Amino acid sequence: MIVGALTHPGAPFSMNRLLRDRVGLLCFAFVAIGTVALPFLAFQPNRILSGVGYRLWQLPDMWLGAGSALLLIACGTVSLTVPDQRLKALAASVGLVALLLSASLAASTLITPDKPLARVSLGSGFWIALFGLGLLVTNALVRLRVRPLVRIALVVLALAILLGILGSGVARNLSIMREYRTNHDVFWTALGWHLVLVAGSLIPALAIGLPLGRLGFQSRRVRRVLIPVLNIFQTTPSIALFGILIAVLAGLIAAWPGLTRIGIHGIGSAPALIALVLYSLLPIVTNTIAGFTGVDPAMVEAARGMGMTRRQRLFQLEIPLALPVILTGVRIVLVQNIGLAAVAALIGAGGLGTLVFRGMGQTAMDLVLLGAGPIIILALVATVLMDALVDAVDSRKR
Amino acid sequence: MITLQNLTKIYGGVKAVNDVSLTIPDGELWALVGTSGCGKSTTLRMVNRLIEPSSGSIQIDGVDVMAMNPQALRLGIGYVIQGIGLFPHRTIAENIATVPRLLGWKRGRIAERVDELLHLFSLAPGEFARKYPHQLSGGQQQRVGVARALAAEPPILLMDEPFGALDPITRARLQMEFAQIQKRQKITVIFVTHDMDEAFLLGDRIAVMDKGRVLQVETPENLLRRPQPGFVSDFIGLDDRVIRLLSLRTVDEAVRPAAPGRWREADGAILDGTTGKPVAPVRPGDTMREAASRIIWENTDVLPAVDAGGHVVGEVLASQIWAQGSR
Ligand SMILES: Nc1ncnc2c1ncn2[C@@H]1O[C@H](COP(=O)(O)OP(=O)(O)O)[C@@H](O)[C@H]1O
Ligand SMILES: [Mg+2]
Repeated sequence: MIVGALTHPGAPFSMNRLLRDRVGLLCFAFVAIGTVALPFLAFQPNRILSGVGYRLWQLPDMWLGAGSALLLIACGTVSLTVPDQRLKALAASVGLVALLLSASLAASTLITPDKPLARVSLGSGFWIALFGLGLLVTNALVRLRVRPLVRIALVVLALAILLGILGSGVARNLSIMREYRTNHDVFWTALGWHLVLVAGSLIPALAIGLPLGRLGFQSRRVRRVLIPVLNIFQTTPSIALFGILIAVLAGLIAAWPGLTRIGIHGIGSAPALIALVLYSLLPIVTNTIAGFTGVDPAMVEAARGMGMTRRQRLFQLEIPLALPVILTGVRIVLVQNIGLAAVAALIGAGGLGTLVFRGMGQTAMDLVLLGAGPIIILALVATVLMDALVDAVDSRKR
Repeated sequence: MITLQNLTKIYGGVKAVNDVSLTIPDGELWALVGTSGCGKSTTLRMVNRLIEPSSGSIQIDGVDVMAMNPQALRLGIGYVIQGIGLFPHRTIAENIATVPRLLGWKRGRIAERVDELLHLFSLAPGEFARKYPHQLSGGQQQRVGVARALAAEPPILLMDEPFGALDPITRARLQMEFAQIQKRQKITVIFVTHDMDEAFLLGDRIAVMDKGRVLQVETPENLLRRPQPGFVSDFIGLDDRVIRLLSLRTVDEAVRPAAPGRWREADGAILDGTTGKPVAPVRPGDTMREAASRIIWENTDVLPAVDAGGHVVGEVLASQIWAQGSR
């Protein structure tokens, strides 16, 4: 069998093992369907005319198309069949780079100087293959239980490779990169604002939420009031909460016009930040309570009996032991706010949501993608980094 | 010396501890026994001020504990609880070093002391110092718990059912180890337990509590021979008292010379000189209870006694054992 030759010599190829790997098989199917059966790229003569889909092997440059398809399927096959998780991850990662490069190169073969208005956008085949390869990588990495620092290094490496490819100009003929070139000032401002919104809401949320959580841990009465109230915020749809806050702030400004002088306006970043803080409180407070509740009371009692002061118990025992759970709450908040900050664009708070909504208004899918892509990447990076951090601070040895 | 005077703790009108007065001399281990909820832990925890008394006083070497800084007081008193409460994120060595570190001992001195304690509690430092609590068995964890409490060489140790969660074999081994260490280092101990056997095994004196009051304070022998009628008698269980009395003494004092040729040594075994059958001898440190049980089992009225090297030194008569168990 051909695939047999590709497997690790120590672990013989096993059809059984292969068939048991349902997720792997599914991912491989995605890669295969994406590269062979579905349109990989869509060609539009101009922005108005509807596009024509190209499967990889239908590209005018036969060698490029068929070669790419073969390479991608080869990467998928290796990743599916080798037993070593490291090789699985590596093969799928090579596949991801190959995917991006083949789309970029193919776009350049479709765009010729005689068609300056033509656009080549990414087709469903590309996205499905991206999804399949991405899952193969994550799946393998999860099973490898990579150490926290290595995980962080891998994320940085992946980002560097992505930015390197995009920055090198090979991808310049993809419509999303064209969209980027025409909007690049707007893009960076939006990205900057997005990060400001996320960080600017996280810090006050921590400053309020951590003490509230500690209080809620210590007093059942505080807990009984606090949790339902925070739950109300959490379940209010974001649009509604933004709307309410606009009204509230407008009322406050009418009463004290001086507020506008310190930068508080009824619309824009002020209500957005307030809303994001309110949304952050529940996860932070509940995880803080859960974190402290998970600390063995007998241990704290023994520590008290040995003469540790309240402060020593808090900083040497309770906080270190509660930290992983608390940080899990911070992770939830971070990922949640990266998404919610996009909605804040609706009330003029800026951020990547601006691009998404503008793109939707103009039915310019590339503009939508230019906003949504980085949001997804930010959320993914935040997840991996925070998970690594949680594991790194997990001082409770298991 | 620890002195409790008219110590009372009231919870919502109920006297959890009611007018308790005890004077515990240096180096003795006093067991506080009683049914669950009778106020043992509350009494114990007032000594290191984890609980403030409602009235009455506690003095350590004549100094009122209420006049001391609670942290300073606790740093000078070892405290061991059933839940052990080891710090899961710190190694065994770090756990044991807790109080010395709080007291600001020098690194070298701490390391030496940790090593010494690990040896003392039969935990090979090379193997255990760097381990984490979850990597140890329950018995090993409680050894560390006791070692941690003794780290800064406190003259006083408070123990609240420290061996209660261990299996019988591990518990017995730890009890013996601890009894030796306590006697050798002359630590004053208040030991809370609801296990009468444990109290009789370890206690120099036993204080029996019921509903917040101390009903009787006696040496184990006197408590067995002259228990107060009522709760105390019921609680210690008079049916077993002969066995318990016999457990309190070793055979050493009952060994008398044997007639020449009565016992023979052959290849490390002891043979009855008249029948030629092998017999299991009593050894130094065996309790009279063990001797009695063997006498009954063998249906004999005499057992050979050997020294630590296994050589016959005499014999023990059943009648002498029985005499110990009678009133
Ligand atoms: N913090 C408290 N509040 C109210 N009652 C308590 C408290 N602590 C102990 N008690 C009560 O005091 C009595 C003695 O408790 P405790 O000293 O823990 O008993 P023991 O250790 O002998 O089992 C029990 O009836 C218990 O319910
Ligand atoms: Mg108790």
